Amino acid sequence: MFIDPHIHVSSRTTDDYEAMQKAGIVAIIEPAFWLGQPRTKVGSFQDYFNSLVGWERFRASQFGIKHYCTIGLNSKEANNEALAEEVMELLPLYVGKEGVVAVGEIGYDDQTKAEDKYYRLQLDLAKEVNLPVMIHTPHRDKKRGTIKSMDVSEEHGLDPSMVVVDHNNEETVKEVLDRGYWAAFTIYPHTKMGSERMVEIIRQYGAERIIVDSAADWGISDPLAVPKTARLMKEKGIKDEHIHLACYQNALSAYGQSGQMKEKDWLEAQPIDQRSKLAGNTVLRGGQSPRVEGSASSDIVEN
Amino acid sequence: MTYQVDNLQMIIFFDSVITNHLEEDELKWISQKKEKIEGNLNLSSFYIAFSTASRSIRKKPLLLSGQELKQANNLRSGFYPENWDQLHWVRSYFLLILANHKREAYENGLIKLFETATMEEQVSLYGTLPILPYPNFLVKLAIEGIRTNITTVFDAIALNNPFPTEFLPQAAWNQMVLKAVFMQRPLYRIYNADERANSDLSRMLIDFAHERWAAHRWVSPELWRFVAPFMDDNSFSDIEKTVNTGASLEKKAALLACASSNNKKADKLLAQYPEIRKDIDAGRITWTMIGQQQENKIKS
Repeated sequence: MFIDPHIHVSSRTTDDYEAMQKAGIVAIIEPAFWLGQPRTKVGSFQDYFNSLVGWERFRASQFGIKHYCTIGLNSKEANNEALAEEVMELLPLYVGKEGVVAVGEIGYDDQTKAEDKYYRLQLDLAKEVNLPVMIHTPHRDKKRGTIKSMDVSEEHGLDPSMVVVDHNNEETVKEVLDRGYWAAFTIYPHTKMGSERMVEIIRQYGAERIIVDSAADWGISDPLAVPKTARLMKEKGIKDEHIHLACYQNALSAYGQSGQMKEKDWLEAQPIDQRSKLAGNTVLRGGQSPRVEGSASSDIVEN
Repeated sequence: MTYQVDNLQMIIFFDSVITNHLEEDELKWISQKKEKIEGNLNLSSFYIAFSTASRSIRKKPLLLSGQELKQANNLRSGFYPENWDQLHWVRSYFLLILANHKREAYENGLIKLFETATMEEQVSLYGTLPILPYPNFLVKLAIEGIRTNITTVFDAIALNNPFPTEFLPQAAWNQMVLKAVFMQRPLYRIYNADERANSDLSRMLIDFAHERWAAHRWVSPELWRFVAPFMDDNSFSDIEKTVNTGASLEKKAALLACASSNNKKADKLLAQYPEIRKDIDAGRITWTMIGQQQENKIKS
């Protein structure tokens, strides 16, 4: 069993969902982020948040995957201050909702003043509603941005045990762990971590407070990054216990602090049966043959 | 019409159900929130109370006693909240409190709740439709809701809910039934559906059956229920085809449709199956029984 605690499934296909389920992913967290291009109206944010707590949650359930999300204003779009103000007014409506496991992903991109302002406001919000925080660390000037993210979080009185610092690399991991934070690693080709480097990190640091995710989205990325990395860890002789912590348990322990994510959500879930759940007009278009666990795929497009 | 139920009576009923079934810590949370949303209403505290309920209320089944179920139905005929979990009860309770405020606050608040609802909240919102005031205002929310592709949300409106039968305009009603057929939902769970059968719906359902047959797909036996009252010679030929070529349940359904139509050819056809006719006359074959068997077949 695996958890992918950072994946933007709204951008992925049903084939991905099927493959994820087959590979053993039982639960996922979809953080609110930017959509590749800036939004221009607050209504776009509202509809996006709605899809995170509504449609995408349902779509995942059709493939036997339990879907959670985080809600927040991402750092890039924090730079449009007029819009950011309006989004901030929306957030209290969503952060307390069922299945919302953190405020996130928030933090710095360019590390501008506006980013700093809305990062701080959202840290206060998380503290007020007692939710964990998912921090997105910047791609550029990463080390400094990561340290600053932690400094500011502490300044606002958040306990590091409630904060997941994401997109770590070899240069940031030590300080993040030393300061008591959860350290997440994104296995994402070319820009972030690769599976082999991840194995070495675990070898060096163990698996305490380490979390592996895919951050798969609309870019060239891999929704199977977590199970693939787990398999490589196994091949390279990493202990099962460490694989379990990094690819399942730590994500559950960190985000479970929200009270919104429990193992029984997937252990006691109904078996997948697209026939009884929807059929027809939903993810199965008119009369598609529903998938029942165990059936094989076909070379033709089914009637 | 302004009220579907006496709102205060319903609040008292909800109070008693919630007090009887929920635990101490949950009741304490509810009473704290209640203080904030009764009296002077601040909509944003209301939204927070509604949307954070899942943090304090356990999402477990609430099993009503027979007496409570009867009381629900006495307060609002057709209202059978037997499958609501605890969280649903609390959300609906808050909605009743919202409905006690001025009309404008109630309507604006409700629109915002619908606009920002999670999948589970949508189920609670639509499930509460039959006990909220100003049904004409609610109609447009219900019509929008029927457009959903989320099965649980669709079911909350369409199944075991008296609101659509009583308030939807015909076109929307027909869309709901047609969509229920398309989504393979159990039609026998649509409240008093026969009351709203109409010739337009019958025609759409027959067209739908033809499409399914052309694609070599099966047709729900429940569909013929809505064709029966408008059976003419054309639709009779479809019924006849179903009797001659359908499996046992389809055949029974088509013959039941014959029994409830005024078509002479249908009478003759039924006469050829005296055993089935006997079962129909004795109430051993009914639309509920056909619906239940079909539902079990889809599930198994």
